[in-house]
Amino acid sequence: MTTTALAPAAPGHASTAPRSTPAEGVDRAAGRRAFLDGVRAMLPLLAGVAPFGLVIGVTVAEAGVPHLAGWSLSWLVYAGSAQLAAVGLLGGSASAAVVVASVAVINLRVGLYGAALAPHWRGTSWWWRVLAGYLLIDPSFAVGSQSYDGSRSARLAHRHYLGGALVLWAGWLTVTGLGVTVGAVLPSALHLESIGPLYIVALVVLSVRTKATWVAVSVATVTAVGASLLPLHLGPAVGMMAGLLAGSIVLRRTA
Amino acid sequence: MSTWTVVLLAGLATLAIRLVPVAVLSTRPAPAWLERVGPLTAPVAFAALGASSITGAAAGGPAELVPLLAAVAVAGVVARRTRSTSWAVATGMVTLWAGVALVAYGG
Repeated sequence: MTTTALAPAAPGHASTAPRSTPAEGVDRAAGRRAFLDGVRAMLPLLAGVAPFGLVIGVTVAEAGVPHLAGWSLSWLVYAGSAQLAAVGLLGGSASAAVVVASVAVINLRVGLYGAALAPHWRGTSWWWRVLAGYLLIDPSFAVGSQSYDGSRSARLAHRHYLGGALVLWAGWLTVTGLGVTVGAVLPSALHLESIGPLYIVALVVLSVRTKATWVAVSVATVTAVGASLLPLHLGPAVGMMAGLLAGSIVLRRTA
Repeated sequence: MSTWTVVLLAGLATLAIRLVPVAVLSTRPAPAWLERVGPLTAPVAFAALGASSITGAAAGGPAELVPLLAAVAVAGVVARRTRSTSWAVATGMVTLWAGVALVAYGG
C-alpha cells in the first residue's frame, strides 16, 4: 500500500504536476471513501471507550504518577486495561518487572488479534505492518474485522482499517489527556481513584459468560487477595496465572 | 528504576506482543493453547487487578474498606442488570460517597 493516493498535492506544484487520469481519480476517491468509512465505523466505538479513557486520565492524576509519563502510556502501551493496571501498580510502587509482566499478560489478547489479521497484511510493506500492528487494539480489531470481510479490495480494506484505527488513536490520546488535566484539579475528597477499580469490577461482571471464565475469574480473585502479602506487589500477577491455569483446565475438560 | 523507564519498557513489551504475531504468525495459525487461553486473559487480569486494588484499600482500615466494598457490590449488581459500565461506575461512586459520609458521621 502506498500513501501517495491520500497525500495532498504540494502547494505551488499544481500546474507542473501530471494530471491524474480519470481512472486514478476514481481510485483516489474510492480510497478516500474507504478511509472515511473506517472513520465512521469507529466513531460509535470511540464514544464507547471515551469514558474509559477519561477514567484512566483521572487515575493518572490521582495515583501520584508523573502526569506526562502516565499520559504517555496512551501512545506507548495504547491499551486501556493495561494502562489502568500500569498506573495502579506504578502508584503502588510495584517493581518494574511486575508492571511490565502485568501489562504483557493483559495484552496477550492483542497478540491474538495480530495473528488473526496478519494474513490480510501479507505482501504489504514492513512499515505498513508495523503501523497496522501498533494501532491494533479491541475497537480497531473490531473495525478491522469489517475491513477485511471480503466486501472490498485489499487496498481499500487497508484504507478502511487505517481510517478507523487512526481516529481511535487520536481520540484516545485526546480523552486520556483530558482526564489527566481534569483529574489534577479535582479534590481528593471525591475519591476518584476508586473509579478505576469500580470500572474493572463492572468489566469482570460483564465478561463472565461461560463456566470457564467464571472459574478463572473466581480463582484469580481469591488468589490475588491471598497473594496480596507477597513482596514486590506480585499478588495480581500470581492471581492472573492461577486464574488462567484454572480456566484452561476447565476448558480442556469441557472440550 | 525511574517511572519513565518502566513506562518505556511496558511500551516495548506491548509493541513486541503486537508485532511478533504479525511477523511470525502471518503464514501459520496461532498455537492451540494460545487460542484456548486468549479469551480468558482480559477477564482474569481484570479480576486479579480489581481484587488487588480492593485489598490495598484494606490497609486504610474499615473506614476505607467498608464503603469501597459496598460500592463494589453495588457496581457489580448494576453492571449485571444494566450491562452498562457507566451506570455501574456512577452508582458505585454514589454508594462510595454515601458510605464515606456515613462512616465519618458515625465515627
